[in-house]
Amino acid sequence: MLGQDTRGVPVSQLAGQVGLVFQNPDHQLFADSVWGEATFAASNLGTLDEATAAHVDEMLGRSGLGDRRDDHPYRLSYGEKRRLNVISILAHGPRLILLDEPLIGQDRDNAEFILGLLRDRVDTRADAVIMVNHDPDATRRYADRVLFFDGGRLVIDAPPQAAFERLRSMGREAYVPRN
Amino acid sequence: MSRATNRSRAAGGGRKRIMYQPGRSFLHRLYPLVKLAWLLFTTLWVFVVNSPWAVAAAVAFLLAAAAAAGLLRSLAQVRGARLFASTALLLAVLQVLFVHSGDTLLQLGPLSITDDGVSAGIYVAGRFMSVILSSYLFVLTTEPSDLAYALMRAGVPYRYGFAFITALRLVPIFEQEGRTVYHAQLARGVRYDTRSPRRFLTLARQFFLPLLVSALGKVDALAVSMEGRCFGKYPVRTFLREVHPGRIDGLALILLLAAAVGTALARP
Repeated sequence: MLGQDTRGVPVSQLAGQVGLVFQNPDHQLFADSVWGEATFAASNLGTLDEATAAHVDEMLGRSGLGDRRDDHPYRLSYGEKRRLNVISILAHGPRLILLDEPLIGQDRDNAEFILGLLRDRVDTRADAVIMVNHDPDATRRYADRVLFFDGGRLVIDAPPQAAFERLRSMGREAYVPRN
Repeated sequence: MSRATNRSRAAGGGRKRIMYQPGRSFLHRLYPLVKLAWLLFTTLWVFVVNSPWAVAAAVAFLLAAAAAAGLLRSLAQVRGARLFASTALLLAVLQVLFVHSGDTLLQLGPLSITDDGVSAGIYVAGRFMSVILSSYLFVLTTEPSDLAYALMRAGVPYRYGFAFITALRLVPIFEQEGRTVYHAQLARGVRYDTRSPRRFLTLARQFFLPLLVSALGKVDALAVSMEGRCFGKYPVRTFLREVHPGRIDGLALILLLAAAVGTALARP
């Protein structure tokens, strides 16, 4: 991972380079407040400085959680928890970001917020973002590369447009954007 | 051996869970309540008898029963088996080392091993092994739902029976969720190699809170779902699958009674 053999590196060290969003938001809420949750990894890794705090504050504000920073994370709605999950794994600046269906429970604006955050990481920091997603339209607009799995087997590895053409030829129109 | 493999083993990933293993042995075929009676009897018996050799005989009897049922390999493979075996050994060694009354069997410098120490070692380790072995055999050979149905037939209200079955079914789910939470914590820079009790309590709270929330959510959803299907409408329930005691159970009960009477008569 990132040019190193992970077998010889402690997980706590890898954690600084990897951000991981699990499928169930409740499985990764550990702090007593939204702010504590958003800065949880940065606190653990000792990277919570003023710039990080300001960045987290800005992300919380844009996500609609700005006035909920003292609330307990379990008081948030499903969609809010999901956005908090994404913010909380971005705060410490990982270079590899893995997300398992982060768009579940998001309306269009909030989905755009999450995808915009991730795209920004790729464009400004050259971070790698790997996202499990079933929304073809979001894939078309934000992805650089599509890996299509069928029954656990990789069947397509191509840029979005070429991948969609392959999917159409395979009769898998459900995974092709409508317009 | 790789670090990943070590971690997997540390989490118990390489060993079988202590759970029902389907089979056709005589232990599998025993009626669940008869097995439960034997489990309770064995557990009590090893604490009632005074002779370490009787306790050793109980361990031998349980191992023989496991061998006859073809479960020795399963016993060796279940999670925790090594820990229990080493704990029993440690208990025995501690008794041998620190009980100095009785006749000396062996003198090695300041270390004296006496017959009382050996007896105490067998006694304590044997009791421990008997309780663990009988519990393992019960769990490995008893389908949880059969036990619940048998308890319900014996008069336990079906609400409690259902709660018991549901709790057992949720165990593997919570185990999986526990692993997910653990990995989610590691991925966020949490370190478990702390020696501070305060930090340990914080880690424990951060680990158990997501599991508790998940458990409450599941129970809540299940309760609403069950109520939507009229669970609890009737005071008694019917059974699609019925489990009845057979001849082998009668024989097992007679043996149990004989053992109980024999023990009562043999006690001074």
